[in-house]
Amino acid sequence: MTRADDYFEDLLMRVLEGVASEQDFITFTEIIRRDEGLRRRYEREMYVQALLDSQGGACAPSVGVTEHSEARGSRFPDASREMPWWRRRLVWAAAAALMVLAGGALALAVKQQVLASPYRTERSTRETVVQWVSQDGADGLRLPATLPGELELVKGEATVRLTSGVELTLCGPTRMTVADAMRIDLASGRVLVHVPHWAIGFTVRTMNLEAWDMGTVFGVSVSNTVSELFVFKGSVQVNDASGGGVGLCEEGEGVFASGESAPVKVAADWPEAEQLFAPVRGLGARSRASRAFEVSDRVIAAWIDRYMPESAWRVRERFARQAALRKEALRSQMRKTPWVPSARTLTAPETSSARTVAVAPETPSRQGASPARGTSRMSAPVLVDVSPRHNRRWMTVFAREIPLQWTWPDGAATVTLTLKGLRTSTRVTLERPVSQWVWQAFDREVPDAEDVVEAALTFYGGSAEPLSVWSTRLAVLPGAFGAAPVLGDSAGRLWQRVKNEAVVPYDAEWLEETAEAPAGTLTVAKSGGWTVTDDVFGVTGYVGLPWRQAGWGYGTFTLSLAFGDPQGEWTAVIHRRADGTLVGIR
Amino acid sequence: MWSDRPGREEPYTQFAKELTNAQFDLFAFVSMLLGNRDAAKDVLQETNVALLRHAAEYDTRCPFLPWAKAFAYNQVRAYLKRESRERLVFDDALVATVADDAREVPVENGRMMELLDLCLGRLAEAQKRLIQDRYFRRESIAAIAHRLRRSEISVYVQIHRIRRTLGACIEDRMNVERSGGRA
Repeated sequence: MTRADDYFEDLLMRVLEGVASEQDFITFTEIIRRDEGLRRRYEREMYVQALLDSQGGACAPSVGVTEHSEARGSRFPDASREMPWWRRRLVWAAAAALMVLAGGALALAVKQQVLASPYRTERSTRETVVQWVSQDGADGLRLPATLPGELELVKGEATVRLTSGVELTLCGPTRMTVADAMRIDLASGRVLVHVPHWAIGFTVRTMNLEAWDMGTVFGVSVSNTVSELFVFKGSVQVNDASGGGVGLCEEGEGVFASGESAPVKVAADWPEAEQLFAPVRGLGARSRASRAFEVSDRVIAAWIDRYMPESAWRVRERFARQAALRKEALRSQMRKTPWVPSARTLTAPETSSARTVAVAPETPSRQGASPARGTSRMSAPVLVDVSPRHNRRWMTVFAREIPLQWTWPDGAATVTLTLKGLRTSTRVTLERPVSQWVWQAFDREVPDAEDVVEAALTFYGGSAEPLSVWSTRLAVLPGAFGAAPVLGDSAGRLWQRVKNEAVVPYDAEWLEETAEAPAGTLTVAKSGGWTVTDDVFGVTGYVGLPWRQAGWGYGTFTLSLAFGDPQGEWTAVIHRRADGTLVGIR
Repeated sequence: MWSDRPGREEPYTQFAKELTNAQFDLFAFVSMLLGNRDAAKDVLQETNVALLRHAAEYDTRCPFLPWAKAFAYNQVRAYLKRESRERLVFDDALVATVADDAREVPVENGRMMELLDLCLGRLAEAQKRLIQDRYFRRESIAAIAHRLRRSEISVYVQIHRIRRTLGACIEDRMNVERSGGRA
C-alpha cells in the first residue's frame, strides 16, 4: 500500500468514526469527488458500517416491534446486542408521525436529536483551504485564506496540503498563487509537488511552462525568466506558455525554459547523471526537497554543459542568484539555533554586480604571507558563506572573471595589484584614472584545482611609501562548478594530489563552543622542528597551504586551528613523505 | 394509490411492512450521502416521518424503495442545506454523484446480513469482541480503549481494519455467489 493509500485510509477511518477534523473532511471530500475508485471504496465501507450498525439478522421486522427478535442465529450472544437503533427509531418515528397528525411536538424532538449529534462542530470563521503540514526552519509562511490566494514562504522549507490532497513543499523564498485545489501559478522560487493518484490533472504554471501532472512527484523552480521542471517519480506532461507540447517527462527527466527561448527537455541519461539522480529518485524526494532540487539543478546544468554548452554560462549565473537566495534563507535558519543570540543583527550578503568568484575584501594587515601553511584537500563543494554572523565579507559567485573596481584615495597616483595564489603570482601596476581591472581567476571554464588567491591593491602617491592597502581573498573551489571527486579513501591514489598545495575551509561556527569567537589562529608545528602561528583570515573562510612553495620539507606536522576555546580546537596530523602525504584529523 | 387495490392487506400494514423492510437500505443510502452515521440516523428518522406523512400518496404498484429513497434524498439535501451553515458537509454535487453510485447497490433482502454473520464468524476472537463491544454493546471508543489499555486512535484503526476485512469478505462471497457458488 502506498503512502497515498495510507493517507486515504486514515482519512476514511476518521470520517467514518466521526473524528475527522474540518480539514480532514474537506480533503476527503475532494478526494472522493475526483477519484471514483476511492469513492466506491468509501461507499463500500459506509455500507459495511451500516450493516454493523443494523446487524441483527434478517431484516423483516414489522412496525411496532418493541423488542429485537433474531430471524437468524448469530455468532454473538443475544445478550450482547441491543435492539438495532433503526428499529427503535422506527418505532419512535411511527409514534412521532401520529403526534404530527395530532399536532404534537415533533419539531422539538427532532431538533433535540440533531443537537445531540457528536459530529457537530462549529464551522471555523476561516476555512482552511491550504493546510500547513510540516516545516523545517520555515519563516514567513503565508497561507491564503481563500482561493485564489497567495502562498508564500520567505525562508526555510514548509510543506502544505491543498484540499485536493496535493502536497507542496516550498523551499523559501518562494511565492505562488493557489488558483484552486488543482492548480498553482508559481511566480518565483522552488516547489516540490506530490500529486496523489486521485488528484491527477493537477497543474503547475510558470511564466513559460505549464505542467499537467499524472500522479507523481516533481519539482518546479522559477528564477527571473527561467523555469525548470524535474520529475522524481511518475510522469508529467509539460507544455510551453502557449500550450504547445514540450513532452511527457518521466522519472529523471525535466524541462529547462529560459526567457523567450523554446523550452528544452533534459534527462539524466548518462551514467554520472543517473548516479547523481539515484538517491532522490521516487517518493524519497519528498522528504529531502532541498536535496532533490540540488540534484535536479546539477543534472540540468550538467545536461546543458553537455548538450548546449553555448547556454551554460546563463545557467551558472542563474544558479549563482539562486544560491544567494538560498544562503540568505539558510542564514535565517541557523539564527534559530538556540545558541545563536537572536538579537544579533545579520548583515545582508554583499550585492556586488560582479560575476565574481569569491570572498573577503578587507583586513589589510592579515593579507599575504602567512607562514602557517599546512595541507589537506576538500573535494566536495563547501559553502562557507552560511554563517549567520561571521560571513559578512564572503560571497560566492560562479564565474572565472571577476571585475575589480576601486575608487582612488586622495593623493594616490598609482596602484599595484598583487595576486598571489598557491601556484601562481601576478603583479601589475596601473595609473590613475584607471579604476577597474578584470581578474581572471583561472584559465579554463571550470577550475581544475583548488586555490586561495590573496589580492592586494597598494596605492602610492609621489613616494615609495604606500598610502593605502586594500586586500581581498579568493577561494577557488572546483566542486562549486560541478562534480568533483570525493576523496574518501585514504588508500586511493587520488590522495597523491594533495601532497603539494591544499585549501582548507574553516568556520568557527562548526562548533557551538567557538561560535562566538572573534578570531582564530592556525598553528603549524613540525615535529622536532619549528612552530609557526598566524591569525586566520576572519573566523570563517579558506586557508591555502602552499606546502611546496613554503619549503617546509618532509616529516610530521601538527596543524591546530583554534578559536579561543580549547574545546573548539581542530587538529590534524600530517605525515608528509616524499612518496605522498597522509593526513590524520582529530 | 394503495387504497384502490383489492385483495391486498390493510393498507397501513402493508405500507408499514414496506417501510420497515426498507430501513436498512435507506440507512445505508443516507449514510453514504452524508458520510456521517449519526447524522444519517437523524436524517433517516426525518425520512421516516416524511414517508409516514405521505403514506397515502404511495402507489403500491410501484417499488417502494425508489420512492422512499426519493424522500430520503430530499431529506438529505434539506439537512445539508440546514447544516452547511454550521458544519462541514458534502456539497450537493458530491451527494448527487454518490446517490447515482448508490443505484448500483443491491437491495438488501437478508442475504447481506447473512454474509456479514458469516464473515464475522471468520474473525479472530479478539476482533469479534471488539466489533461486539463497539457495534452491539454500543460501547464508546474511549471506554474500549481504557479497558484494553490502548490509545483511542489505535482502537479506531483496528476497528477500521476489521471493517475493511469484513467488506472484502462480503464482496468475495458475493462474487462467489454471482459465479454460481454459495458460502
